[in-house]
Amino acid sequence: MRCLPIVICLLLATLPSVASGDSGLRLKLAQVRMAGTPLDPRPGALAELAREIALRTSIAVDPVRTLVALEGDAIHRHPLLFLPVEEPLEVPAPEALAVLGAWIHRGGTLVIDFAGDPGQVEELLASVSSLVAAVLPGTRLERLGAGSILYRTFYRLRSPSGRIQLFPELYGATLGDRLAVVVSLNDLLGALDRRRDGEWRFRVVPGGERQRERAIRLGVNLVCYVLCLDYKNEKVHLEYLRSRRNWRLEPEPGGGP
Amino acid sequence: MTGVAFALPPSSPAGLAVIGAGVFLLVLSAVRFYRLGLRGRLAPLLGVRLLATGALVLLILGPETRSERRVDAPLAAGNVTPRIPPVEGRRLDGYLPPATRWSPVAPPSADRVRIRSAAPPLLALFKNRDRVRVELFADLQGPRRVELVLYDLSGTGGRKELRRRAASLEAGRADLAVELPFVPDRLGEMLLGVRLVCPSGVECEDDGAVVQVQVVRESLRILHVAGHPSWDLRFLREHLKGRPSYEVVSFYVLANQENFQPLPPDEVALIPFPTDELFLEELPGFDLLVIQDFPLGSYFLLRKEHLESIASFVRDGGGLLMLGGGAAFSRGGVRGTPVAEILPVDLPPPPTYRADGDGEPDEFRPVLTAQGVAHPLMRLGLPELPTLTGWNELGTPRAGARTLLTAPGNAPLLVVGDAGAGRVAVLGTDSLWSWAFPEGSGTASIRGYEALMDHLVQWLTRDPAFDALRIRPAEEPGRAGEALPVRLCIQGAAEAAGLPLHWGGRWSGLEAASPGDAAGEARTGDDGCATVSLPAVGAGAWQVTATGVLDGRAVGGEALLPVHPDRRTEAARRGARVRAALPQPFMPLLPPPPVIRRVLPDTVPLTWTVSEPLWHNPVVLLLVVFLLALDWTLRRRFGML
Repeated sequence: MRCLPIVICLLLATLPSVASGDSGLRLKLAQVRMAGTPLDPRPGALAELAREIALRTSIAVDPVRTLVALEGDAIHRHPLLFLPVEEPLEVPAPEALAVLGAWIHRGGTLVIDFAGDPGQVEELLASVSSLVAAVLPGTRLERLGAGSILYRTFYRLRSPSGRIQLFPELYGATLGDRLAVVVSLNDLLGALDRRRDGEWRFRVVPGGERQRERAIRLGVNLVCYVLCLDYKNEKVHLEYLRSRRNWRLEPEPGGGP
Repeated sequence: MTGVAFALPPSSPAGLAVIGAGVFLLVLSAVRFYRLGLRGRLAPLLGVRLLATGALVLLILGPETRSERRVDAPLAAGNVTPRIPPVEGRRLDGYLPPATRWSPVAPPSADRVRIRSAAPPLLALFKNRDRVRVELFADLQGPRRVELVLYDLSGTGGRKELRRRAASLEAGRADLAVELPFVPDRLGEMLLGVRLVCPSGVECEDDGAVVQVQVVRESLRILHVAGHPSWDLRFLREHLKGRPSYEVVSFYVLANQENFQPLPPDEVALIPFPTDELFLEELPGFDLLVIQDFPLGSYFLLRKEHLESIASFVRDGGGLLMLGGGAAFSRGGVRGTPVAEILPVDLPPPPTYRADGDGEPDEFRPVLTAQGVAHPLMRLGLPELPTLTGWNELGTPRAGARTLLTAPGNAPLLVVGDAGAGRVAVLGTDSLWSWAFPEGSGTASIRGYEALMDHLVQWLTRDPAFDALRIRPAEEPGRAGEALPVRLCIQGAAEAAGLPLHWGGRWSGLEAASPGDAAGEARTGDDGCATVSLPAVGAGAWQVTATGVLDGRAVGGEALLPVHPDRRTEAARRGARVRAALPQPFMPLLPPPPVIRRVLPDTVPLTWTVSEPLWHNPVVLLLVVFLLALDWTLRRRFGML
């Protein structure tokens, strides 16, 4: 039974292609810029993530990433936004906070990727907590444990990866049953950033290309999560993974995603 | 004279003592006559003595004669209102004004029980045990047992007994709650009747009640299948999962054959698509199948038997919602498959998704058609429909299908129709999510999205609120003994005036074992509605059906309409008890004028009984005196005094 997915893979590989998202509406990966954040620190990361998603999944994704500003209505075309930061966040202006709050309540998910000095992580988490408290009153930024659904929406992962591998956990804020804010501390987009000439912009340490592969998988999982939400928490999936593959799926403390 | 009575009844102990004393005197006299040597005159002497002693005993017992007297007495002025003139020659024997007829002869029975209220559950779950709570009021002189019977009045075969339960009631005035359990075995509206059965000697007042119960499934089971993750999938999933009454089972294709990487099973969380289990085994257990941007006709794991099973599921009463996208409808090879046969559109041959291949799909504003304006499914509360992006060419709507929304070029965008016992809706776009995630500060489109999705689910699962022909009481719920006006209204049609409708009703009575029928024809007015009248019946339920033909397709609807018992007010209840206490028909204290005019006499017969002691008769008195004198003379003559 353990080889069943491989058999399916072989079957899939031998059958003719079917249109399954090569037309119709496509997912656009978008990067948002807030006041005080760098202009475009990882310019090639989202395009590379889009390419990997198109290669690995059935998701119809636009290969061109989009840049939007927090101010204005443009963010309302993108329910998923990546925010690369190198410094602790400054509290946005009230108008920008209102726009961000409305966007999150309507279904938006913000992925904050920290690419700065690892020594500033505590300050960064404190600033994100302040932002979460401002836009999601009553909600706290919490550590996402090993049982988080983000580690099994497509690939099975055991910890977050990125350009570095210093911090073993992701952080998140939940609105209802949905993760509305996700914080990665290992410079996820840095591991995905590819230059125009096709070379990776940064070396990945200490794990090298295997670590980069795990970072790509985390990016795929993040996108699968925002498109399918708690699909992988459905009973049929959990029972199959537990009984047929002997996965030990740890329950998330507090019952979160 | 009607008879003789005694002041001291002879059978009473005192009467027997008097008679015994008389007999003792006679025996004593006989012994004395014998000792005095009066044997030759013993018989006449004892005869006189017997008569005299008998007269004396009678004197003590006090006999009375009784006779009945009757006169026609003129009615005294002031007993009735002077505004009501008496009617010549109309007499009713036995009539007396209330003031003169109160009589303690027949005191009213104090044992009475009534149903104070019957409360059903607000919502009952299908096949789940629930109960009707009945509150009784009892006024009893001693402990009694009554029975409560619960009937199902929703069937066409008359009332069906569901539960019978005895209730023990204590003496005195008290309230008692009795619960009558039942298991709802039909979905939608259910009408239940409660009947109180009293033993002899106990008066049942308000002995019936009719209650409505809305029976729902514990959850509406929805199977959501999608060809690939997308924003349209995500917002639909979030909406469906957000409804507690929906139980959603999903299966999404996360990787297809062109990009699936063979990896060790421990590294991917994907599981095989259980097509056989879902479409061949489990599908009949669902109420609705949502197929979203899925290449039904070309997906490698689906065989013809899977598609035939989907078609059978719908024809057998299931709902099917097909949503568009780059892999849907003709692009997904659906044309020519068994599923295509149940769709309300003839899919076009070329697999087209408008505006693909040239960059950005076009943005457009969908247009609500005339059929859409009238259809209850499209009551979205939106002043203007928000824009969409990109659409599938759905082809030509089939006969009987209804196009509710169109894309540019009058292309069908949302089409609904029937397929056997089931319903199908096709929506040719994958951008509806933009209504749920709108730009700007307005939230109207979010409500529009939620309303459209809810309405689609409700319509596809045959929620009666979305029946093409709606049947409702015209004004208020029915009352026993009154005709019930009913409105038959066409929904979802722009032009429904002058439409002939056939209707029929079957009545299941609370107290009648066999049902009653009514039927007729009606024609809708300008408002698309017709009003018909169901005949006056007793408490129970009408099951009304109506059918018609609209735009060449049959439309129909059915409804259960309750007929409630005529529950009396406390004042009416007391009046009934007063009437029951009187030995003869009683004129109400405040009768309506026409009744008084008919019964008012100018004289009334008065009857009474006259009692007279026997001694009031002088002949009897003289006879007794003579006997006593003769007895005294004879005894003196023979030396006994």
